[in-house]
Amino acid sequence: MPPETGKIAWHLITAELHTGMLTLAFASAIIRLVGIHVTADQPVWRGLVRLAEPTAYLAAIGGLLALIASIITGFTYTWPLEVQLTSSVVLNKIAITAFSTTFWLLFLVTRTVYGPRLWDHARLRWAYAALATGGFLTLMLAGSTGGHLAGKRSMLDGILHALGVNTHLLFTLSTAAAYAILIASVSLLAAAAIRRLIWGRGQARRAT
Amino acid sequence: MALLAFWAFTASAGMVSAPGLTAATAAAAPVIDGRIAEGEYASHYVARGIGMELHWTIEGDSIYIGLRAPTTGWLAIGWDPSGPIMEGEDILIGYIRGKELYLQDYFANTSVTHANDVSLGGRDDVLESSGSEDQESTTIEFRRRLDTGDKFDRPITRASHTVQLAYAPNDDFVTYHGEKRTVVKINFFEGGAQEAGLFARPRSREAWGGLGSWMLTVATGVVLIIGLTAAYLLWPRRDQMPDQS
Repeated sequence: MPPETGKIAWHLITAELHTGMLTLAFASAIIRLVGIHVTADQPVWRGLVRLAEPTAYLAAIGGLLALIASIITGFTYTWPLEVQLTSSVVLNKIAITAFSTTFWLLFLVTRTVYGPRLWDHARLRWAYAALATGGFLTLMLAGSTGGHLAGKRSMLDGILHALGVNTHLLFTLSTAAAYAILIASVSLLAAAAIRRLIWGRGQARRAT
Repeated sequence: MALLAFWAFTASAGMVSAPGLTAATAAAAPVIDGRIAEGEYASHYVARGIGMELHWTIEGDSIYIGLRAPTTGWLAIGWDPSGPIMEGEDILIGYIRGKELYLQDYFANTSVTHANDVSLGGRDDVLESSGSEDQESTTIEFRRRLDTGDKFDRPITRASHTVQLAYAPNDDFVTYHGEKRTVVKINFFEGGAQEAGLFARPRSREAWGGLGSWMLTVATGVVLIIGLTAAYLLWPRRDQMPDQS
């Protein structure tokens, strides 16, 4: 056997690893969120909720690292780049993986910046849970696309077909739509930053 | 027959290709027993570059195909792609694990991927099959109808077909074949064979234009996720903002 042929196993290992760890991170974040509203006296539930917070954070760190490793091994150990970029399924998978990586990166940044206190603030915890949900859903979609690349079917096929989503067709936005979304996103971000700045100055003036 | 025996010998020795040769008729239909005997098939082609052999006989409404390659992993034959590389191709792919042959009827649903016909809503149209493996090579024989009627199969006609032969070292349907792939034009009825280059139908320059739109879409998605999240977190609501002092 040529030495390079066994290397595809690294992609399979890292893919399984990041899927497992990020699913754990998502489940832990949801358990922690539910734990705020469901305050049962059962010690098992209370212990689960208590452990869910650090578990979500640590699993997300490990999962994101494995996800990055999976991206690298996917590019280098599966098919030649020329072949990958010819396949609409591969391009869709790369796009979905990029979205998933962004969600999980923001998940970690949010937790790192605000710390475990973010659970004390409704808007932060909902944002945190939303990021985990976005990351998890895109992760499932990327996994489903990967199933097709491996020549198998996916459990999500029925749902995707019902929604009219065909992961075999290259998904692209029109240039006009892409620019409109880009401008809207940047404008919204700038508006939030300016408003934050004005609010901060107002707070400082009141303090003095 | 002497000429046929000579080509059969060279094929089994993996020495030369036999472009254009064949059109001979075998005395009887090949026996699907996992062994390719000298003169068993009416026609054959040896892909010199990768050392893979293709043998075939058309008998009635069926085609008997024998494949042999210097591998202990999967080997495959596909024909008639309708798009770039192997898109739309009818594929038969198989390997031997232990003593058992795993041969499946596949369809190339994209330029670089394939799926089992059954999983796509079609049928597995292999009528008989058998295979064998030693330490250095694998042999697979099978029979199927020239025209199966399955929408995920391509009929074998009197026209010339673009045929792809490939193999890989692993017992699965996934491992990339790397350079162990070749493309050849074959007329299964008349026996003509001609190397066609690695890519049956290269992707046109226009088709690559979609890559720019795809990259813009990916960038837009990433910016949208970051923008919405950051704007939501930055937007001041004094009653709910955490104290970061």
